Amino acid sequence: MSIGASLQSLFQGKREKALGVSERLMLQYSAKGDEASLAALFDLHSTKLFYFLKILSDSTIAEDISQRTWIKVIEHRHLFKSGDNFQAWLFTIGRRALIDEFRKNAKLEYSNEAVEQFTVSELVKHAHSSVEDDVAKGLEKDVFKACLAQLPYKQKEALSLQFEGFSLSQIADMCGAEKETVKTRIRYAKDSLKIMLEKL
Amino acid sequence: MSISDKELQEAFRRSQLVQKQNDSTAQEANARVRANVLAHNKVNSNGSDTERMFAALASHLRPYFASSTLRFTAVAFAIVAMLGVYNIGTFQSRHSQGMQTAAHSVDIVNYHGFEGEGELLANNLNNDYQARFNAYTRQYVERSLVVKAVTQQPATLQSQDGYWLLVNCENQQVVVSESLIASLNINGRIEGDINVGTQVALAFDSQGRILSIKQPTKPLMC
Repeated sequence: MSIGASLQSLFQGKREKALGVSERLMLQYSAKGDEASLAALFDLHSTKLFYFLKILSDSTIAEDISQRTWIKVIEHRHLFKSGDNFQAWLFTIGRRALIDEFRKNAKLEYSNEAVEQFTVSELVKHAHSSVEDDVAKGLEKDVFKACLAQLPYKQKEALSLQFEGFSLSQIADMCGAEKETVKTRIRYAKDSLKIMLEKL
Repeated sequence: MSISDKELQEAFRRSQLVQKQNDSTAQEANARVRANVLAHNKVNSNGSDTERMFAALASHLRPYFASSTLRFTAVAFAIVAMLGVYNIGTFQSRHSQGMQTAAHSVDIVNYHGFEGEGELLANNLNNDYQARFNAYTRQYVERSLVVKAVTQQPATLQSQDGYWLLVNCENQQVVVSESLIASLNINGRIEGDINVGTQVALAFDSQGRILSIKQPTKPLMC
C-alpha cells in the first residue's frame, strides 16, 4: 500500500470513528435502504422532531409534516453524506416542509409582526389564559409551554433548536440567517420568556 | 431572583415530559406516522434499482456540472459509456457493489428496541402512557420467559444518551432503546453498577434479541 493510500485510509478511519450513531445508521440506510436502520432512526429522532414542529404549529400539522419529513428522508437518502449531522439534516427538512405548508395555507400565520405588537403584560395574559384552559381540561399545568407559545415565530424556532442541542452555526445554517441574527433572536426569546415566567 | 439559562433549558425538558403525559394523541400520532413511513420505505425499496442507481449517480455528478465545460463534456461522455455497459447487463451489479463498499463503508449498527412498538401504540385503546409502557413490558416478559440465552458477548458501554450505545469485540455498535432499557431494568435483567466505560456481558436469545445486560464478575475475553 502506498503512503498516500495509507494516509487516506487512516484519515477515513478517523473520520468514521467520529461519526455518531445516527450518522452511521443513516449511512447504513442510505446504502441498503433497510427497514431496521430507518426504524431505529425514527425511534431515536421522531419525538424530538414532532415536538419541535408542534411548538411552531399544532398537533395535526406536526403529525402531517413529520410524516412528510420522514418520507423525504427515504426519497433523498442518497443525498446524505458522510460528515453531515443527521439530526440537523432531518430538522432542516422538517423546518422547510413546515414553512412550505404555511405558505400554501394562507389561513396560517408565519409572521413576527403580529406577535411583536403585543406588550409583555398582554403576552402574560395570553399565557395565563392558555394555562387555565389546560387546567380546565384536566391536563397538567405547563406554564413553560404557554409562555413559549407567545414568542414570535423566529425567536421560538431559534430557541427551541438551541434547546434541542444545536450550535449557533448549525441553527444559522438551518434557518438561513446570520449567526449574529440567530444569537439576537435567542437572547430576545430568553429575555421575554424569563419575564413571562417570573410574572406568572 | 432571575431565572438562569440552565433553568430555562431544564424547564424546556420538563415541559416536553408534561406534554408527553398530557397529549396522549401525540403517541398515537407518532405510531401512525411510523407505520406509514415504514410502509412507504417498503414500497420504495421494491421500486426500480436502476432508478435509485441513477439518482445516486446524479448526486455524485452534480458538483462536476457546476465546475467547467470540459468536465461537463467528460462526465456526459462517461454517462454515455456507462449506459452502453449497462445495456450489456453487467454494469448494474458491479456498480451497486462499488457503491456499498466505497462511498458508504461504515461499521454495522445493531439496534435493539421493542418489536411492533408502533402497532401496540396504535392498537391500545387505553390512552394512559404508563399503561402503554406496561403493555410493552408485558409483551417482552411473555417472550423472554420462554426463551433462553444462547450466546453471550462482551461489550463496553460507550455512551448513555437516553438510549445505551455499546461497542462489541467486532467494533460493531449495539444501540439499546430507552424503552427496552427501562423494561430490562424493571425485570431485573440489568445488573451491576453500569456506567460509561464499563465492560458488560450481553446475553442474546436464538433470534438475536437482548435478554440481559450484566456486569461480569470476571473480565470477559473477546
